[in-house]
Amino acid sequence: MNIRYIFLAIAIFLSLYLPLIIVTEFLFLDPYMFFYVPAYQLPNFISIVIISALTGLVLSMSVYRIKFLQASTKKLRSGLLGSFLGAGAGACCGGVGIALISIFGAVGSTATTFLTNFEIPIRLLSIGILAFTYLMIVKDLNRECNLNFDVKEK
Amino acid sequence: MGIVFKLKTQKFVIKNKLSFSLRITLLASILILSGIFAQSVSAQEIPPWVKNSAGWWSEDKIKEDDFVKGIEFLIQNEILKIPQTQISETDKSNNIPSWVKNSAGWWAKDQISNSDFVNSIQYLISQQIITVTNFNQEIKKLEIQKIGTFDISKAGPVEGNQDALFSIIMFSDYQCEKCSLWFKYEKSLLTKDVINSGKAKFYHIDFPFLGEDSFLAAESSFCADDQDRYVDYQKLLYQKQNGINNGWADYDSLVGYATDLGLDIEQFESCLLWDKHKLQIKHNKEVGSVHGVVGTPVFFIVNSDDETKKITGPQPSMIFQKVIDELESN
Repeated sequence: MNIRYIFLAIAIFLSLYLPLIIVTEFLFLDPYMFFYVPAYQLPNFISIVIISALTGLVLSMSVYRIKFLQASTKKLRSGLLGSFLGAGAGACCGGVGIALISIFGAVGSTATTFLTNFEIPIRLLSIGILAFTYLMIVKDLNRECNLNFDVKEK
Repeated sequence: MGIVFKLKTQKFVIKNKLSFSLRITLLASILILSGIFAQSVSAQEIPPWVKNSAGWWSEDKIKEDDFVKGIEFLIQNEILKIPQTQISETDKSNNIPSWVKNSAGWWAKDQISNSDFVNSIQYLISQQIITVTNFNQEIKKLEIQKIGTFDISKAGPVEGNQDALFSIIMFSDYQCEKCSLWFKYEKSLLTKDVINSGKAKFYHIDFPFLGEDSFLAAESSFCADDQDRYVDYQKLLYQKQNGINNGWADYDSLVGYATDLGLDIEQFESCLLWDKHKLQIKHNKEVGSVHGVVGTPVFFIVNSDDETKKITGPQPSMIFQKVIDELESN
């Protein structure tokens, strides 16, 4: 077990999870720091936890593959795509929404509209992409590690 | 003969004192004179729909009331300035003199300029050839009402005890999902814990930033308010919220909700078509912008000493309670 990659996974998880719960307004900073998940928002919150956890796993495993096995960055890219999609979904009315609109104008407005109107399908799609990427990486790691082991034995 | 402008907040009576032939002569003279003396009204200040309505009215395509709405708009926005005179209840009448129709027709056909038309009416009023009586019965609505630094004179109707020590001001967009969820699930708790107990009163101010439909929805809520159904209509809007600019808050849908509530549809549609509350909504949005509102929902709690606390996001009732307790202890 490589402890550094566990820390990397936790760091990636937190760096996605914390901004997301602030943006989607589960963690409030004003006037008090306050964490609140109402019952009607539970599916949303769970999807954020799943996306953050899968992103942590997928990215740390991708980094491992690239660093030690000189693998391509293709799976890292698909992992990032899944993370971005999941992170963007539902960032509607708060600070992020207005920032998108004011910075990117009509394009930002369209993006905000799209991300809000299709929040749940986008979240599910991103979980799908991340889960698929995770399975592919696990499969590749098993294959590549075995191959390397065979090479060393010879 | 005279004109009655019925505004929500104002009522003006214009009384005509002169004979028809003299009026025509005077009007022609004034049209010329007004071009010389008064250049204060620029063409850009008059929205095209006011002109269109004048043209249609002169051709009897629309009712007098619809034309009056255009004039009301000019008065409300101080494009047409009405000097105030003494109250005279006997001057009241509902008919507009026919010569005004002629000039409206000329104006619509560009035979006279924007400023000529507006200034001619202003001149007639200022010379008391037609008399304007302002017997404002709801003058309080016109005055700037402030809570802390917030101008709430154009906010929705207040909810709760008018004399409550605390005021909760909510900035919201009808297309904002978080606002809708807060209204559906948290508002009732807030009402029960804080508003019904008489601790605080509640104001809703529109901050439509998520697109055209947000603005239209906000306007429609005030059109419902004209029929004293603001709260019911607002509740319905938050219940129907279903995304951004995807049709749930377009013109037809908004009229449909009004139909569901049994509102006078002719009056409601006329209000929405003529953008009767456009400036009110713009004003409310400006109030939000001035106070640093960039997204919704945002709440401000103001105490009787004008001390203000901001609550960002759809926070639960207990936070409001805590902020009020903190302000109370200060």
